[in-house]
Amino acid sequence: MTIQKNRRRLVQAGLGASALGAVPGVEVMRTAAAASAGSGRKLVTIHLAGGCDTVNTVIPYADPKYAQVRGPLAIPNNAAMPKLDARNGLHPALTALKSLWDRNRLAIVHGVGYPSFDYSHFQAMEIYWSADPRRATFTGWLGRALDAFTAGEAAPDVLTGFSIGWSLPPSLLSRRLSPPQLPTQADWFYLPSWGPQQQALKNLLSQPTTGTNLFYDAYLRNSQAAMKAYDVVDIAGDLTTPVVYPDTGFAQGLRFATQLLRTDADVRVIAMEQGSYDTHETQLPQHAESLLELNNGLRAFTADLDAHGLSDQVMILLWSEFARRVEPNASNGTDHGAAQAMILIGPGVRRGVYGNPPTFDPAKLVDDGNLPMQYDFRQLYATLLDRWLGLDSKTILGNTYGHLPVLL
Amino acid sequence: MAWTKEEAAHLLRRAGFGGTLEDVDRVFALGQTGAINAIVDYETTADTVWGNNNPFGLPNVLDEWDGVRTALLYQMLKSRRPLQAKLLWFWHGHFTTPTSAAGNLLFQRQMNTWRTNANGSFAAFLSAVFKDGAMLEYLNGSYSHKDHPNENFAREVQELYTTGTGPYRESDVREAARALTGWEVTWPERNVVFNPDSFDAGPKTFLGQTGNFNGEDIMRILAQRPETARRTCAKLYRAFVSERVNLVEVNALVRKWTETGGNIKAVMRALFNLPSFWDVRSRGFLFKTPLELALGLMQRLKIDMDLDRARALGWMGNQMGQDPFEPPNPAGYRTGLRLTGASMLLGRTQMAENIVYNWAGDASIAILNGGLGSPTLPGTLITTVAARLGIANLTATTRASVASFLGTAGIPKADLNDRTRSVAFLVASSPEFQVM
Repeated sequence: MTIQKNRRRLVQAGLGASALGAVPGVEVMRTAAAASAGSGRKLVTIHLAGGCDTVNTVIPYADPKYAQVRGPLAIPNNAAMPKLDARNGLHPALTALKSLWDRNRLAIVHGVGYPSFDYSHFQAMEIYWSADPRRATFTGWLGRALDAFTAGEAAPDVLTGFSIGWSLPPSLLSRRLSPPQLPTQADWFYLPSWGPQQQALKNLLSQPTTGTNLFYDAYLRNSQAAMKAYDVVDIAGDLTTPVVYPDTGFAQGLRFATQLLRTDADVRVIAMEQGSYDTHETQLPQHAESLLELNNGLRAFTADLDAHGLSDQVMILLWSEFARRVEPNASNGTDHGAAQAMILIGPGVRRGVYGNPPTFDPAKLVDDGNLPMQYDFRQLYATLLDRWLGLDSKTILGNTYGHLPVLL
Repeated sequence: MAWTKEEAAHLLRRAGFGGTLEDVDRVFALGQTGAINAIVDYETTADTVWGNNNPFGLPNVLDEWDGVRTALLYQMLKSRRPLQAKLLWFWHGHFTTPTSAAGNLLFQRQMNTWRTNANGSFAAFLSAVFKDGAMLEYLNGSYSHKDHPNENFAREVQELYTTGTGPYRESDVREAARALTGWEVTWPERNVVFNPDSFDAGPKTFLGQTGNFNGEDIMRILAQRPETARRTCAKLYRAFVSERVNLVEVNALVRKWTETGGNIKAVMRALFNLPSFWDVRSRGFLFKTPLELALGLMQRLKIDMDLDRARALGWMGNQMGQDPFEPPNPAGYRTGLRLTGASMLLGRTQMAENIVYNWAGDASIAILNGGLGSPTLPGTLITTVAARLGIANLTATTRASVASFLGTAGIPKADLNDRTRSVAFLVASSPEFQVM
């Protein structure tokens, strides 16, 4: 006994022909005031999961101490290493990032951190997600941005944010709405059953929340978000592109991100995760593999955004929960570290490498061999919130942080 | 509190995956104290299922990428010792290793070790954990050398497995890493051996104590820390009682832990005797994990496990945010609100549909509608199916949504099974079924 999956296909005809711009057929609820914030600009954050060794990502190749200290983990300074300037090179896997640099679309900020580093994956992620080193804030910094975007809406549009991935990152936790979550445009994003039985299911999932049981209420709120999202997901999934994406989960997620941005759902913030950067052991191949997946995914993504005239609207932020220890360990890996290089991608950046390359001077390292902070991460967040998304960073971050000159 | 079948069913849902209606009757007949003891003292129940590592008759379980995990799903569904299955799942989520990171052989050995230690001494368990082959592979303990010790396990054993953040500093991580050097998992035998040449035998200062510590010493110090007792008891409370933690009752568990030198069985017996475990007001504050949802439905409907279904539980579980025996990181599986992503929840309704329509045969449906008169009143059918699935009270909206679909006319015998499936699917998709 099987049930035929009866997916809704509201808009069947003409979508493939709509190669440029927004796709009609999706209700837009954004108020005029909120719609003008940031001129419709979008932020895509990509979490390099596990703690990316940014010393081997943006490489201080000209410093002789780099090869000495990194020993077997040093990336050779040869023709395969793309050079950005006299001090900074890229990991050889990052050829697409080099070409983005050549087109003035790449900005790198060295030494991003916060006062008093935490070396736990979980604590450090919480800090970057919540933008609160005290870890006393339940919502995420992107979730609070969603609250600001939807401030004027009686029924906040859940599609203002989207989590593309296997989890619901706490960065997107918001007071006003639950953004949908989906790994990629997948055939299994549907509500089962059909006809009156499906209607009964919709009715029971649409019941009011209790206000007393958070699980019960989360089930209802997020099921309702799913029901609101799946028409858009369905429409988005039918959009074709000439750009060929690699067959990795990450790249397919990016493909779905472009599809979503091509609908006229007003998605402003997308959070994603990539890679497997917790390289305690045999780092060289594992780090290279993760960076290659990142690079190839971004190559297709940026080409696809270009092909659909969306690049000017999209800023990509690459971040990790920490970088890694300067000195390798006995397993040819590196242990948890401190300050990291964050990367911004898009035509909106002011191309450059900000801050000093990693130091190997023991006197300058912190916590027994870790990179010191040069910029507070909330300076970068504030720059993106105020100057890119057109929001008020003080209400979102709870304080005023000096901007970084990373945007045009 | 009166001891009713609802209480017996509650005990089986928490201490296991729910069991059959006959299991509920049997546990009910033991009385409350008898029921708790029968569940906690599970060694007294005969169970051969754990010895059957190849339930689907594969040519070689270890050669199939999912040979071990499908066997484990079979064993957890079929065990006559609900608490042993549930504790195995709990400890696998706590001292966690993904099958894929360890390989089948090491993972199978680890699950045997975890099951043997599941209700014994926490200190003995921890001592087994740090020299477990799968764990040594996963958190890079294997071949960690005195020259540059690997800190991965040294950190996670403190942050995630014992004290939690607080007592230790970065220097304690480094010193523990030195003490944990010397262990190797050989190739290709995959045996765990100690190599004194790579062990750092020098003095270390760890959590305020100084000595020529080795791994056993570090585990002993950690097992004895009060933070370990508190954190583990609170985690057991949040897994078995409620996500709303009652500190007075966690303190009672900590006292039991301290009295018994960290005896897990004694703590579990105390836990099932806590007032809040039985208080109806604390019910519903656990969000069922995908596996609890799926195995619970399968047990209640007496659906057997075959290889296809075990594999389907893998991909369906993944869709619902919990890939069985593949935890996403060293902190274990997502729980609670982290399992409420939109696609994860749609996955729950799809799983309910799959189990009710594709896996449940007529015998399963008879469990839900057996004994009903003909024609059956829609209201009676809704109440009966919900009660037999373990939901005593549906919300008014859930009930009205199902009722409007069924209509008001009596359901003739010929339509009863179809309607029963509809009601079961809708009840299993309701918010009240997602919590326990």
